[in-house]
Amino acid sequence: MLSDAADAAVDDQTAPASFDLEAEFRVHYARVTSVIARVVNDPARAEELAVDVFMRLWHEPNAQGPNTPGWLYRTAVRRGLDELRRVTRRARYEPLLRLAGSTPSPEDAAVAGEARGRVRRTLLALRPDRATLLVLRGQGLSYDELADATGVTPSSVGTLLRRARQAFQKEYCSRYGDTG
Amino acid sequence: MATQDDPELERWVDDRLATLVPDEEGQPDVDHGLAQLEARRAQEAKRRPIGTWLVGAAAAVWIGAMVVTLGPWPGSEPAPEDRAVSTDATRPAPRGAPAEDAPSPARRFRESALTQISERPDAPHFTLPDMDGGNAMLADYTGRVLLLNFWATWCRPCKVEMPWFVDFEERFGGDGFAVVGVSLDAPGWDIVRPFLEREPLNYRIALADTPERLAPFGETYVLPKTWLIDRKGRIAAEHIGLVDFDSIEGQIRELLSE
Repeated sequence: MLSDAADAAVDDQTAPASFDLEAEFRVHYARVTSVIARVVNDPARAEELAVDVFMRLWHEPNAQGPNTPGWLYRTAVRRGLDELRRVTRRARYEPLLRLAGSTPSPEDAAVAGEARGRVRRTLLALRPDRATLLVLRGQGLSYDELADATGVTPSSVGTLLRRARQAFQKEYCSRYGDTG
Repeated sequence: MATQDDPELERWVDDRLATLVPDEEGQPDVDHGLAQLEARRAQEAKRRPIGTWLVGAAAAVWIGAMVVTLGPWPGSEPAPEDRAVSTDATRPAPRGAPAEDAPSPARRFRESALTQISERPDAPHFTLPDMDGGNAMLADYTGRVLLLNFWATWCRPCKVEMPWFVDFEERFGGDGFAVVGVSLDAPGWDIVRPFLEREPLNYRIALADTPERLAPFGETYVLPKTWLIDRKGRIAAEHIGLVDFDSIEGQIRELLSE
């Protein structure tokens, strides 16, 4: 369990008595980190953001319970996309980061790689629920897990995934042409 | 191009998403992560009573200063038209027009206190197009403190405070805080994008260029207008006109510690 000092200091009115944050952390942290890392391409930053997600879980009593895994993965993708958006905007804001020959900054690394950069920029332009479905499916989540994460019925996942893929392809090709 | 058949579409998309797998996908150190989580929880719990006391003390000192002051130092107070401008849904305000609702220092003082938690109204749900081609929604910010700023390219005081919001986004953006600027420019992206090319910002910009998009936020007669929304999506503070930097920074810190 977390240290006694932390427990004593924490306002436990935010958490139901039966919710074990540490246990949930041990079970889901690696996967949450992996989901975020796919979006931000920075493993160290992904670990920090994963801790952010669990901090948010601590503040969200409604997410504590049987819905926790789905909530975690959905929030992880959204957090990753927000970070990617922030980094992309910062790169535009500080053009000095783009000096030729300069050592790539973490910000540059986040959107580095032609293929990855295109995929990430395309994901940023999609509706968040569609981007979430695609990233989590790429992570290997089952249809049942995707249903939990997105709050839809398992029977709807197939249709929603198809629409998300169509939207992705349309957006990608409109930006970068038909690359086959 | 891949045909629209599902299996081919699925392969086409999956091939591209597969590029997102990191080059080095090791296992994160769970114990290290847990230690970080524990440290942040303990830090937050310690900061809460201390932070509240410090903000309260600072507010008391400022109240005292406001009571005894003879008014703003000459030349340091922005002119009325640099604090706030009236807005019209169909046309921009004339340049240099004195603000109809320029906030007095007393009014700014009343707005500088956070609304008590039990009295905070829910922020309206919104979905607005953003500059990256997606949609900005209130739900995107659940669990984070949000500074929602209503502005326009023709609004002088709006441009005065933008660098401050850039600073807040830079300093607090990693701690569960975000800034979203909502432009009310009727011409839409045609005028906003060139503005952002000239004045790049590090925070998200969305567009409420029609009455329908602006409707969720209620009447907006004066710009700039700034809301601070807490982690649970409630409006904790409203600032009409140019914000007071120190006051709003203190409010942000207080909301982050809640």
